[in-house]
Amino acid sequence: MTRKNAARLLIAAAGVLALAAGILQGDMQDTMRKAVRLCLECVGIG
Amino acid sequence: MSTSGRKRLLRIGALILAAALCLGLAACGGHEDVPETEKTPETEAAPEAEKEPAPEEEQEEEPEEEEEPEDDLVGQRYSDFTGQLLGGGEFTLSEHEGKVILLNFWASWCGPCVREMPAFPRLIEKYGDSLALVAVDLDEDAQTVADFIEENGYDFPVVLDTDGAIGQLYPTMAIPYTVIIAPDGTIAATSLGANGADEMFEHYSEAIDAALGQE
Amino acid sequence: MGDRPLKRRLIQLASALIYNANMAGFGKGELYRGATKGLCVPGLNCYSCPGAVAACPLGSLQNALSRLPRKAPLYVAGFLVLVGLTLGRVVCGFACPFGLIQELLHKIPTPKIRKSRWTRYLSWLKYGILAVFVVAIPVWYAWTEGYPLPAFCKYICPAGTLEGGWSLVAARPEYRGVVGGLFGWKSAVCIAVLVGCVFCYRAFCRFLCPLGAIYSLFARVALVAVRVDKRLCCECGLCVERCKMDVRRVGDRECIHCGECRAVCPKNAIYFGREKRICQPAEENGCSVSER
Repeated sequence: MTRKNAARLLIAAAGVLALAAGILQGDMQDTMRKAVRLCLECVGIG
Repeated sequence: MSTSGRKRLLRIGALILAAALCLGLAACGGHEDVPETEKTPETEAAPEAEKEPAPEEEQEEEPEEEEEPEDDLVGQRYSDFTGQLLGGGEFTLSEHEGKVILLNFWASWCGPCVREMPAFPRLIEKYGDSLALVAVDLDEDAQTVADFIEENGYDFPVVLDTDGAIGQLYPTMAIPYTVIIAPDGTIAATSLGANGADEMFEHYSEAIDAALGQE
Repeated sequence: MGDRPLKRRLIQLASALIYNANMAGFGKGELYRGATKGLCVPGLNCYSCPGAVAACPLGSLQNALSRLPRKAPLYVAGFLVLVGLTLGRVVCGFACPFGLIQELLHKIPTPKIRKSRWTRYLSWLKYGILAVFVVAIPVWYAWTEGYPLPAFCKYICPAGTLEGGWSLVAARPEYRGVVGGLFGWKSAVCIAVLVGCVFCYRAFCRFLCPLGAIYSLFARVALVAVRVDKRLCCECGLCVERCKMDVRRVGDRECIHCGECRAVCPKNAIYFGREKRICQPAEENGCSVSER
């Protein structure tokens, strides 16, 4: 396996772990809550 | 790759566009194009991924945003609700009728909501028993709200609206949103957005004074 | 040969339509509330856009960072890493609605500002914007002031102004009272960016976009990319010359993998996709990767 592919594997593993851990800690809910309401200042209105 | 290749490509493209359009149509469902009542567009928007529960049906006839720039709610009667208080117990809005009610909708991820909150204890101190202040947290779970309130040491009533049902009764798509209800139960003023605790303290004081003067 | 640009354009268009499938939302100024809003899309698409059916990765990142130190931004970071690893800036070239808008604006016939070493210098600015507005300010405010401040969304993002700000204020008269200096600033920024893109190809992508900056970090490892087959390459440099982005080589951090360079390569050395492997029995390792 080339060094580049080893790096890719490592990065992929880190990404998958982070994604899974994030979902487990409820990040998708947090994202959704923020996305379904409008904080006016947050998007530069008002 | 000449005409046959090109045709195939265009066909693929047309398929992609058609798929996207289908998704789009599914998203808007089959609702009428009536601008007055924007009630429950969400139910039609996502039949599979539905987040809104049944309470929408109980929603009172509250024409939300219409064409005029003035907020429709002013002069209307408020919509009553009962909610879970952070820390236990229930909160029913109508139990506080007779006082001026400051009904605030917020969330801990909303910067301006959080920044205006120091005004609330000050308002309570200023108006005492003639003011009933309640802050309804939208969509968030109890732990998140509890952590936030504890970190900041607030002790005014906080209602948890985890499923967004109470938020449905008022135009709370945009927050922070605050409603000032006069002692006779009519909505005296509404406020969208917030400019920091000091400015909002003045702003709400004015509105509360006006509502008190209405007796 | 002429089909490839068309294919890319169709994919860009499809992405834009899919990200904003909630067409009904625009007229009413009503945000979509379905569960898909917990998912991020790879390109820049404001989740305060009434049409958006999913979340913007940049907005989500800033908000997730605001939850430090209690919660680390694992989900969004993991998402960005995986997209960066698989596609990298292919997202920019194929799946970003704002990228599409910029390309269309550039088609307006005016004199154009050609790329130069100054534009190459300017391309570093987006990393600064990433560091300051997307990361540093949200983290700092959360830590010291205790409230979230998504600084890129709030002060800069023209996609948010175009898709969210303007469409919401237009559809909802009651927001006009809230509009103030911040909206004026953001509108000015948005207009400046849109006008700038007429004269300067993808000016936002090249100089300002923090999302492109993030994906560009994966340029060396991305699985899908536009690449040069070094066995065929004669180093004439026509590809770099033809390219409208500030690339030094095809497929570097500034490359958005649009593939327009493929048309001018005299050796047909440029290809799109996974790396080609060449296997020479004489070599000790057997196979190596044929890439410049």
